Amino acid sequence: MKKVFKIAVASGKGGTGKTTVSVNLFTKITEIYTSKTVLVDCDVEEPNDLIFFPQAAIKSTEKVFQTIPVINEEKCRFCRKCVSYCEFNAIVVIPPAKFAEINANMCHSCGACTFACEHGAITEVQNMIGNITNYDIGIGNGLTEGKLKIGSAMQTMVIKKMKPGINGENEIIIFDAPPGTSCPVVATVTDSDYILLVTEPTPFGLHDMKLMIDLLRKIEKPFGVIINKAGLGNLEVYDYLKKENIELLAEIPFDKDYAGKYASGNLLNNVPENISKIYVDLVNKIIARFNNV
Amino acid sequence: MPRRRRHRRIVAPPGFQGYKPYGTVGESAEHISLFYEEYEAIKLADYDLLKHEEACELMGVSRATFARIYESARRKIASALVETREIKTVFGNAVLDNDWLFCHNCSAKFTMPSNLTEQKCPVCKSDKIDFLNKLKI
Amino acid sequence: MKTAITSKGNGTSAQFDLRFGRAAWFCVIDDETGNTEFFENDCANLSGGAGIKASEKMAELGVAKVISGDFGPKAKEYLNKFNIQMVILSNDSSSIETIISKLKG
Repeated sequence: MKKVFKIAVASGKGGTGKTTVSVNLFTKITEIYTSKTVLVDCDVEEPNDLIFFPQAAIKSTEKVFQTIPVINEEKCRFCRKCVSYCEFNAIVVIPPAKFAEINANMCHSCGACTFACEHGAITEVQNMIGNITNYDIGIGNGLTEGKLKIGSAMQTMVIKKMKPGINGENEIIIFDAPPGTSCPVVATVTDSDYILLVTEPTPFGLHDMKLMIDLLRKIEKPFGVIINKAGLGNLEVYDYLKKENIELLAEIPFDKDYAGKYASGNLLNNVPENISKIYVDLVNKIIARFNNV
Repeated sequence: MPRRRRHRRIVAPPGFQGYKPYGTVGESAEHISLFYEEYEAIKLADYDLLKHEEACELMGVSRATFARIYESARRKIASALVETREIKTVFGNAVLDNDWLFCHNCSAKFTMPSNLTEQKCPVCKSDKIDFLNKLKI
Repeated sequence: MKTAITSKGNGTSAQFDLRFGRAAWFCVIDDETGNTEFFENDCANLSGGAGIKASEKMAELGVAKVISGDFGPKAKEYLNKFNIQMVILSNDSSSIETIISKLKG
């Protein structure tokens, strides 16, 4: 079987430049290495990679469903067994009022209540929680985007469903991870071969990067650090990387003009010469790692 | 007897009490009263970009009534702009999604479930009560 | 009719609790007899769904009116569904006794 190299771009702190790095890295890889590359936006709560590809055309869309239980009040004996089984407090049963309901937004689809019910009053229905869309963007194998329905708490389910559906024959897959260190991030990085941690040289960037490093060491994933907005903040992050012997893959200087272009959605046009070169170096480092696997 | 006016359901009152033109010459004419439901119609149609069919459902009125409210809202805003008149938001015929009342006597806020007939403050039994959203005018 | 007041402790001298779902105790007053009864809120420390559980408890106890400092969105949804009147006394640090005497007028 052909080798696929999966890279996740994560950060811990939000706003450090995961999307900037993902989008630039993706285009650079397709330019200088292989067009068999796909970008996957795993920040399902607010995916925004698409904004930087105005030429995008929808190739296919798939709905993501969550199985949620429903109580049939006619069959229910109001014994509250399901309530005691539910870890997420999603079930309300009030015997005197003959009221029984499952709150779909709190339900995690664990199935315990269906198992608990002795009277066959609980059946399962499909509840739409989001969409997965494949886009043709004229670059590489395109963009896959997951989007969670507002109000749902099932980020991980959308992310997990997204991965097998990635289309095209790929050599490299880039996951743009959500910020933070919680379940959706774990769901994103868990099957990645390498993680790029994007941070900024500020106390907040450093603090949240440490949390992310703790996580990655626990799940035993190789990673390297990219310092974005270099020149701002302080030098603590460099000291930390040196002390912990962590590879610093790239440093992207802070550039006000470039930040302005990002804000207007013009990320990929007129990338400054120096920044373009940094990405070329980064791609080469990643490819070297890929070939060593 | 004319038909009873159906309440227009809105999610939240506007976050402002009015708009005032500035840099105008001379005194401007009297203010224009923009109803909460008119603000909501503009918000749903032109800000949330809903179709009129979807918006009317949210407000609990027919499609034609929604169109009338929306039209009236646009005309009011247009005349305010052209005639440099102040806009003030007024409660109108709206009803908030969740009806909260306020007691003028003891400052308690409360709901009135539909099975209660007595329209009194549940704490001090005062009848000086009002819809909370009306107070924002 | 029964009224529930969120309380920080067990006893009428305790302070009024401004939270509903995560209140420490619920004081339930029988409007006719004037008797009070205290129930500990065993759902106060749940990671989620405390408001739902507290609303469920109110309905179970047959309470018609709940007095608290505020109600979360889910609690509001269920209390509305069960036709339980919600009363908010914000910034009120008085004791349960004081509130009960206010109720009696």
